[in-house]
This record gives sequence, C-alpha cells and structure tokens, in this order.
Amino acid sequence: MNTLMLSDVASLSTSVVFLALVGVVVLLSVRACCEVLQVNLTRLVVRLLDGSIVVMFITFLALVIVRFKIIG
Amino acid sequence: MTIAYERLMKVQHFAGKNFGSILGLFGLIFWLVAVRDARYLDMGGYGLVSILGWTYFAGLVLVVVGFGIELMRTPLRSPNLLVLVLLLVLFLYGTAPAVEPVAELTDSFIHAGFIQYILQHGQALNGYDARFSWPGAFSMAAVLVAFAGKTNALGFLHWFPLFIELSYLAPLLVIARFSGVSRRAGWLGVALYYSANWIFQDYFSPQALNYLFFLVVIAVVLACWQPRRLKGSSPTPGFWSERIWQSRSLLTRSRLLGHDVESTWSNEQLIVILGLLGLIFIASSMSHQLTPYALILALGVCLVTRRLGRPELVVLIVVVAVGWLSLGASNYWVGHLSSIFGSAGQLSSTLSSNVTSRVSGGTSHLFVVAIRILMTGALFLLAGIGFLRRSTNSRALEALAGAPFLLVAAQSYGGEALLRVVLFGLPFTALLAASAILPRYSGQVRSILPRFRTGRFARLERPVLRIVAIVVVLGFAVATTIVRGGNDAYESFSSGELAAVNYVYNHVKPGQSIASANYYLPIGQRDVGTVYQIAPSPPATFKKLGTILLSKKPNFIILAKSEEAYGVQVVGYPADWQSSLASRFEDHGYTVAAKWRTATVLRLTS
Repeated sequence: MNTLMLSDVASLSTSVVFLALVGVVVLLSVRACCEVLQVNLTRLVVRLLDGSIVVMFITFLALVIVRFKIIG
Repeated sequence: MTIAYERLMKVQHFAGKNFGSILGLFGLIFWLVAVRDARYLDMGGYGLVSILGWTYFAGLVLVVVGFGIELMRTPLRSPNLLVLVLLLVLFLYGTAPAVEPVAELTDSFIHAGFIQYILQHGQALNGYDARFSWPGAFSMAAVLVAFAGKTNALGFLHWFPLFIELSYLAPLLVIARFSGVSRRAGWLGVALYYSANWIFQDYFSPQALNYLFFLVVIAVVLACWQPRRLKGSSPTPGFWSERIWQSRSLLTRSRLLGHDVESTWSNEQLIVILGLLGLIFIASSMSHQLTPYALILALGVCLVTRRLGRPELVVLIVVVAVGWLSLGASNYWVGHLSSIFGSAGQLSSTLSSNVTSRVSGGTSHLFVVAIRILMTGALFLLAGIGFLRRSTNSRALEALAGAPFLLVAAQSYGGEALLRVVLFGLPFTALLAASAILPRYSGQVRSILPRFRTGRFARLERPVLRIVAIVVVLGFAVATTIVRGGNDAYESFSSGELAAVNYVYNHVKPGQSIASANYYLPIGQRDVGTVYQIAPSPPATFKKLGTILLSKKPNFIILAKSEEAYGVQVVGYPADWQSSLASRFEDHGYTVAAKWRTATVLRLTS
C-alpha cells in the first residue's frame, strides 16, 4: 500500500514539477521578448509579470525540494 | 646578376616580414620528425615525455618564439598568429594521438559503450551508471555514428582531444576579443590557455562537449553586451573611496535587471541569440552534471559585472538544470540523495579528496603531480598580477575566473571538483595572466598598481616584453607536455591491450564476467548491461588483490601493461607483480587463453 502511494506521489510530483518548469520558461520568454522587442507594457503589467515569475520560480524550487524529500 | 640580386632581396624581405611564421613552419617539420621517431612501447614512468626526443622540444621552442615575434609586431597580423596558435595546439594536443596506437583513457571506451547501447536499444540503460542519467551527449553521438554509417563510436575516440581543443579556439578568440583586454593580451591569453591546460578533460566525453557549450555561451554574452559607463563619481575623492563607490552599485536593482549594459546588436539578432542560448542550456542540462551549474555562476557574475543584459538567462539556466536533475536524472538520485547533497558545505573534506588524496604514489607520479600544482599556482599568481596591473571597464574577467570556486563548496564531484574549477576558470585566468605582461591602461575601473615608467629604457620595452611572453608561454607549454602526458604510462593503451579486450568480448557470453587488476584497460565499449566488469579499487598489496579477484570467480581475467604500470607507479606494487599474480591464477583453475606482448588473457576452465 505504501509503495503504491509512494509511486502515485512520485508520478504526480513529476507532472507538477514539469508544469511549474514550463510555466517559468513561458513567463521568462514573454518577459525577454517584450523587453527586447520594446513592447510598451503598462507599469502594472510589468509588475504583474515580474511578480508572476518570482512566485512561479519559488514554487518550482519548493516543488523540487518537496520531490527530493518525498522520493529521495 | 641584377635580377638574381633583386630576387634575393625579395626573398630576404619576405623572410624578414614573415620570420615568425617561417619559424613555425620549421617547428612543424621538427614535430613530424619527433612523432616519426617516438617508440610507444619504450614509454617509461614519466609518460609521453619519456619517448619524445629533442626534436619535439626544438620544434616547440621554434613555434613559441615565432608566436612571440608575431605577437609584438606592429601591425598585429591575426592570420599569422592564428597559424602559430594552431601549431601550438597541434604540439600540445596532437602529439599523444599521433604517437599512441590507441585512444587514451578507459572512460573514452566506456562512453563508446554507452553510445553503442543507445544505438542498439534506442534508449539509455536506467540504473546502470550515473552518466546514463545525463544521456544527451551520448544520444547525440549515437545519431552522429548512425549518420556516418558506422557501427560504433570507436573511430571518433583517437583524435577527439585535438578536434575538440581546435573547436574551443573560435569561442576563445571571441572571449579574448570582447573581454576588455588589449588585442595583444587577447592572443597571448589564448596561447596561455592552451599552454597551461594540463587538465585532461578533452577526451571523448560529455564534459568535453559541454565545455564547448560553456565557452560558446560566455563568448556570445561577452560579444553581445558591453558595460554602460558608470554615471557620476565618488563624492569623496581618493583611490579607495572611488573603488568602494563603484562597487556599491553591484547589487542595485538596475544592475540585476540588466539595465547597466548596452548592445549594438539588433532586436531580431537578440531574439535569435536568446533562443539559441536556451537550446544550448537544454542540451547542456541533459548531457552533463556540472557544466550547467558552472554556467549559472558564470552568467550570474556577468550580470553583476555589467556584461549580461538579460537576467532571464540566469533564471532559465537554473530552471532547466534543476528541472532535469529533478525529473530526468531521478534514476540517479532516488535512494541515494546524499551523493548529490552530502558534500555540500564540507569544504575541508572536499579539498582533501581533491588534492591530498592525489599527492601519492611513486617518484615519477609525485613529480608530475607537483608540477601540476606548481604550474596552476604560477598561473593564478600571474593572473593576480594581471588583476592589479590592468585598467578596465568591468571586472568580469576576475569574477569569471573566481566564480567556479563556489562549486567546490557545493560538490566534491568524486574528488574532481577542483580540477573542473580550474578548467572552468582557465580561459579567464589565462587572459588575466596575459594582462600581467600586456596590461591595458584605459578604462573606468583604474588599475591598482601604477604604470611602470620605463623612461630612457623605453626602446627596450618591446624586446623585453617579447622575451617575457616567449619565456612564460614556453614554460607553461613544456610543463603541460610533461604533466598532460604524465599518466600516459597507464592511461594510454597498446594495440595488444585492445586486441586482448576484443578477444574477450568475442568469446564472453551474456551473464559472464570480465576482470582486470584495476581500472586501466581499453574496456567497456561493448556488451553494456549484459557482461559484468570487475575492476577492484587497488588494495595495499597485490596478493590481496589476487584474493579479491579469485573470490569473484570471473570468467576472464585480463592482465596488461597499463594495469601493471598503474600498480607500480601509483599503488606501489613491486615491478613484475602481474607475473606472480598470473601464476597464482593458473594455480586456481585459470589457463592462458591468449597472449600479446603487452597483454595476457586468462580464462576460467575449472
């Protein structure tokens, strides 16, 4: 039963970490493209974008640590 | 008569104008003679240098003197300098492949075995070896092998060190051009990089490819972004207050957002470059354990020293590297997480495993290790002088040379972290060392030491600098020749040893085992996952080694020249220890199945 639960958690954590990774990469790409192509974003949007990147990045790191702890 | 005289004058003029290149050409002739005369089987305890005659060193002197002459010429002629650097690379990285009959290092053969496994099965073998958890480079090599119509990667092994070192030249020249040192110092730095690179990480391996990725990324970043001029000046004038004022902006928001740099590249170029760098990050994260983390540190220091305009790149490499470790490499760390994080912060034990444990063995091995330590120390000393003497607009070089040391605090990397740290910092350390001889005197960040005033000896400045450059490059090049090939008595292999291994592979059955007395054999290139290999860590005595091997009852035992040399030079076994061991095996049911001049195959018959 424990093994079954652990394998469930392991496979779930894989998807969650991967989603967080994709999320950070997409947000970073949007930020870099907007800056390089000098797209005029409002101050609010820029702050929201930066804030989202920080939150998503911290979430990603936290998920990685949790995954290490659970199945490491 | 007049026509003959005119021709003679033309030849003399040409020779005078191209004296450096002509010396290089003669050097090449000497190298060819040295390679022709070298007898591999006569190699002694000091490795490659023991079979290189005076012609090799005469040729090396000619090439380095030619380089020194060209380096101090006005105007600087890049094509001539390029030819001389290529000759220097040939001397230092082409001699071993030209002289030795088989590719060096057991790991090259093991990597060829991994590639063959992927070719045959279309995937990596989970749980077999930690390196299979970073299979990017192996997979790419498998594609190349299939594309070339070969059945295995063995054909790529022999000349790979020369090929990959030549590949490093392009990014190194870009780094030298855009690092903020003068053009002459840039060329001298590139020559010093090659002269001082004794760290044998350019064999057929993922790390050799990833080092190319590392250099390309840094070259692109330095070429793309230049530091913006610092605004304002220190409110209190003075030597140190100005420096403290300049350093205070290191961690400002503007600096961390990449606003303190400027780029002359178009927006379209920048977008394409960002995409390509992203692809390199992914390739690197999938193919090597350490390089992505060296890139994180390098890009981080580029950001704070005003040489990187896109902070997203630093976050991206962190996410991709950590993401692969967490998802792609989970086979490696599940169940033994301590192998990744166990050595974090344990600096003294890491240094001990990286340095102290290597300073052991016989006289010849200790000599080689001592020269390695001395020449690394000398290069860092020169780099320190370069730091004090040069003026610049950004201290990126110093930061790039120092940043890899943080890796030592995080990971011992199987006792090799310090080697890799020196390697990742080497291009920048070499440029700083070149600045000790040829410093730049312009830049917003002024030099710490005042400029030498040569006064009435000014006309001697150029000849003296030429001599100093020649002596330094030559000193490092000779030392590298000695220490880079210093382990070749056991890290290089004869045709007989390879034939013995192939003989065993042709006769071994799946599930059977092959043993060797230690790690040093051209083995691992076939039957990955189906045939077991036994290579015990060498115990204090060879008698104990015999007991260990007999207890495992291997189906084949290979005893070879390289294994014997390792036992004598590093472990301290007596000369001819393998004969005693072979007799003991024959008393315990083994018979000699095949024999070459440098290798013997024993087979279990009862």
